[in-house]
Amino acid sequence: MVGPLAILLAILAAAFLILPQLIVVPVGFSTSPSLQFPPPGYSMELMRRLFDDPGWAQAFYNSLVIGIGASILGTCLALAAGLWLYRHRKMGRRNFEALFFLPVFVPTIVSAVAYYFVFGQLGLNGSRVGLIIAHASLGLPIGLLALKPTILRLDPTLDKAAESCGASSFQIFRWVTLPALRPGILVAGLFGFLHSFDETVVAVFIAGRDAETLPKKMFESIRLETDPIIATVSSLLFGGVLAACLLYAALAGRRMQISTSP
Amino acid sequence: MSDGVRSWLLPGLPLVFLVLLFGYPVAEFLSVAFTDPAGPFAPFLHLVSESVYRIVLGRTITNALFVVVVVVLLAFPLALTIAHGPRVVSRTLLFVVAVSFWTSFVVKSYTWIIVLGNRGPIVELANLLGLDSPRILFTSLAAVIGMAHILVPFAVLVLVPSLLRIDRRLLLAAHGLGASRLQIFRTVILPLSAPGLSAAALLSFVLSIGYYITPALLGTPREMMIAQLIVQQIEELLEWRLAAALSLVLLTVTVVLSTLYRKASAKAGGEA
Repeated sequence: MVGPLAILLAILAAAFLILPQLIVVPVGFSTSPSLQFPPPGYSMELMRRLFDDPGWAQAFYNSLVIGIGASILGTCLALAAGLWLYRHRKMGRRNFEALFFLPVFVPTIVSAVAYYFVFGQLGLNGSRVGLIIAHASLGLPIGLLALKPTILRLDPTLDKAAESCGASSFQIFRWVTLPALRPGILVAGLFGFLHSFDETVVAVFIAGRDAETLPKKMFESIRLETDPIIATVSSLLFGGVLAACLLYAALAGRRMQISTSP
Repeated sequence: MSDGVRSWLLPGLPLVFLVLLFGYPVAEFLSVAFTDPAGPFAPFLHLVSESVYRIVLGRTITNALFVVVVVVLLAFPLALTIAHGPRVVSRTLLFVVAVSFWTSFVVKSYTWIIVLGNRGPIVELANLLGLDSPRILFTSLAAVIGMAHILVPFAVLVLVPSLLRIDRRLLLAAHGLGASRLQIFRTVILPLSAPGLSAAALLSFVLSIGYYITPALLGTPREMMIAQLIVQQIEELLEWRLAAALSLVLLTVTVVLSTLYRKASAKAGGEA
């Protein structure tokens, strides 16, 4: 139903998305100290320098710790908010939905400067705790979106059944509700982590030296110098995304084969 | 735990967290705009009277409009082919969009420093053809390209669900009645995808007027956008009041357009 012209334009658009990304990879393995493409020759020198530099390892470690912290905190908050908003289909509560989505409406640059301003007074600038708090707040709406469909699908009769068997409300939550929500919680946690791992604007302002994350270090290095080592970091991150997407496509494809096979 | 306590605790915890650790910082920072000894609205009058700020504001809007045009032109055929194209092509394109969507903002912006740089492939190609080296990097054009590159996957994700809802039988019927491909596109596909298109355009506009990282890396301080101006007021001039006033302007525009976006995407049938 789609004409050849539309397909051609679509392929050109896809090339615009992906080709520049592929150009970075060879530059990350270049022998040239400048950002030359195509590179004059290839070597692992940049990669060796990257792994020898404790600064990059520390930034990666900070990103991991902050990402995991923000993911756990944000998902717990989103779970509490989501259960209250969407469970039992009490429609009146939906009117409060927008409250929990407030961070989406504030441009990130405004939140970043605001955190820088207030966390400066609280002594939270340059700390991992500060970034975890900021990323958990900004990531809460994403977690809520991820949890919403699973919470809406919860079967209220399961609660009733557990209750009539004499389960306490905590037991119901622990052994009935939580297992039913597991897929949504995992997705919310993953999205929360990825959001924090990628987040640059707030990190540039409040991370300082001590809680420097990977995107922040990259941003500052790009501004200061034209070191092709950032191309190496970029290729590694891009390779990670590519591998994750390939894995997902393979798993999704296998699941589809299983479900379509008789 | 009684039901009464639980029904307060559940929304209470995240709300208190958001109010104290998100709402309070934002409100506290924005309120600085009104603390000028020369009068509460002095920073705003300053913004209106000085042409520098009007120029930056105007440039932010024009850049964002250019971004919208590029994004829509690229995302629409992509989304259309993903929604209604041949299966293999559709799968492959969706994969490319997903990879691009998950790639970090900084990585994507950095990409264009290499591609558009003075030893990059564009300059190399121009030299091969005997042309003058084009100077694109560190201009508004580079910032627009970089932002569009980031926003195309977002727009595709907004467009695909709305395009999927177009009934294929309508296209077949139009085809059966003898409509040409162009006619089908103009009289069936385009009107039916209008709500999705306006949602995608609004989203691209709202996000790009607030971008800082990409214009800061690919643009130039001489052609800055509003986010860079806010940062400059704080980092170089220590003008917190002006920064807060500018942020308030940016926030107001964003909130108004986001409300429109929620309406548009509700009309397009998607969840906002």
